[in-house]
Amino acid sequence: MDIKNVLIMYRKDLREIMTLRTVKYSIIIFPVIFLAILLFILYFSYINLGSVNGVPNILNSTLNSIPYSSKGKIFYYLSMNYLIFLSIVPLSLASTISSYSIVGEKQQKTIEPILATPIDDREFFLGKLLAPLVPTLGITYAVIAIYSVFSDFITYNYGYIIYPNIPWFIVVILFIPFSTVLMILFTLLFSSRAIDPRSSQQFSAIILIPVLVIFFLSMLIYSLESILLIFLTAIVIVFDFILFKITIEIFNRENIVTRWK
Amino acid sequence: MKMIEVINMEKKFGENTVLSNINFKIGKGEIFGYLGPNGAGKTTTIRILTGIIEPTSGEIYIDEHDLKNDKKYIRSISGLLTESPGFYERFNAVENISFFSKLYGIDENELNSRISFYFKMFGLWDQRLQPVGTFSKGMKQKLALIRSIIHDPDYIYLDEPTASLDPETSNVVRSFIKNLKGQGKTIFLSTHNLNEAEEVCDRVAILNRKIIDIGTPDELKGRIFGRKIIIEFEGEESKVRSILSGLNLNFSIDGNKIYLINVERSPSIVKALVNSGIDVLYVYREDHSLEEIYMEMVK
Repeated sequence: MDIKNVLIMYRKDLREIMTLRTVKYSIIIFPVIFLAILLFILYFSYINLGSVNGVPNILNSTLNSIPYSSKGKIFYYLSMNYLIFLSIVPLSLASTISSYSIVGEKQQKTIEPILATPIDDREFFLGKLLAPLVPTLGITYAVIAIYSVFSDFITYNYGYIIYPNIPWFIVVILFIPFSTVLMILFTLLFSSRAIDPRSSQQFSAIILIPVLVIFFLSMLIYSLESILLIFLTAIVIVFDFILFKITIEIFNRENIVTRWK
Repeated sequence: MKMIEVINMEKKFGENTVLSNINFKIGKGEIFGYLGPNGAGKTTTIRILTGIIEPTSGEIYIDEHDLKNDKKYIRSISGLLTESPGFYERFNAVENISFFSKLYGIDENELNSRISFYFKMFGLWDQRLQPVGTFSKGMKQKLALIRSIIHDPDYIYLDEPTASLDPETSNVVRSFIKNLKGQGKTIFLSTHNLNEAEEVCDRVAILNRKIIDIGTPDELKGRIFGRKIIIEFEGEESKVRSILSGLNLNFSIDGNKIYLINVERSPSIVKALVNSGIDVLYVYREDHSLEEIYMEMVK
């Protein structure tokens, strides 16, 4: 495999995506708005924090396991949950970028001339995988960095900082990259059958459902946080592996030329 | 020796046999026409020869390399003009060509000089920085031709190169094809345009999921219609008939025209007619266009 070809494909895709005004603005505006809302909620929560005694019973054991003062416990709890909620940012970005990447080739009929060059199927596939992955992770990590610094800035008033901590590392290093890859694979899979980017985006949005489930689950069983996150990441990796196998089959040149319509 | 050799090639999509028993050889520097109706398997053959898809069975050797084992190499020495040009519409012409050239491994300096040479040659230099989406069909086709030759391939596959182009651009493309032959390139030309095939091809194959016949246009004409010589005369038909019968010839007479079939030499016949007092007005060979041959073959 020639990494040079992967990078040529990746750079071309990235540049092409950036020429699409709708995509360019949506990958900038969406994370900014999403982050602004979360920061606002976080700040609003901070200035209106009550005591642990005021929260529902179901959360008592969870909050008691957090080793901070009463108000600090609640803020920590909220901040960690919103951090998981931030996974929606990379999933949404990855879906937007990768759906244009395949459908764009189909609409412009550029696949056959590419396959006539010495590039092989895996190089083509990896280029397509990398193009949405790199900018998505770049933007997501910038969002997480701002979010984490903001949270730490608030908790500094209570005499401690939250981030980085072990669950944060699990989310940043494992959960987000692997779930982003899963989203890209899903979108590439749907894109090979789709005739326009929107329909492939809509199909791949199915994957947002488990993220929302994780978000609500994590709010209830917070004390299992690290184990739960590792468990969920392991499930994502298994799905990544299965989907990778399926997608690489679909990225077979005979399939691409004769079945991708 | 540099050539394309196809032996017993077959291609099936599921149960549907698209190509069967395909055999041909194309020599270096030859322009080989590939003619056939829609769905005959022309584009599928090109896709197989350029390593885009695999044949179901058969052997293919290009430049003495087995296509099965050396696809990457074979793609690097092949250029393809696809049926529809296919460009990134928001990229400019240079960006498009640069992207494909990089996949062929052309270095930056060499690429710049080739871009300058070909863009000027095809009259696209002034539009080189315009988005390809603003180009006319003819301009896109010229750009696609540049893409197919930018890496200086030995084998060039042209799939309907002049389809839906205006006569002027078609002429530019045809001249360019002849020019490539002059450079020793081997050209595989799939076309519906039979006049074009007749004008530029050294040999043609007529295809309809299998090869019906291969040869030079003249050979095909001879095989289908026989070699006919026409003699226009003035004189008595009965006298002409008795002279020709005495020469033991395969002939027919229609009005003042004698049709001689598969006759190698006509001077002795003309001499016999003249010596018998028949006025010979014209002697010529009956000509058939490639189109007539094609229609006869695919019937």
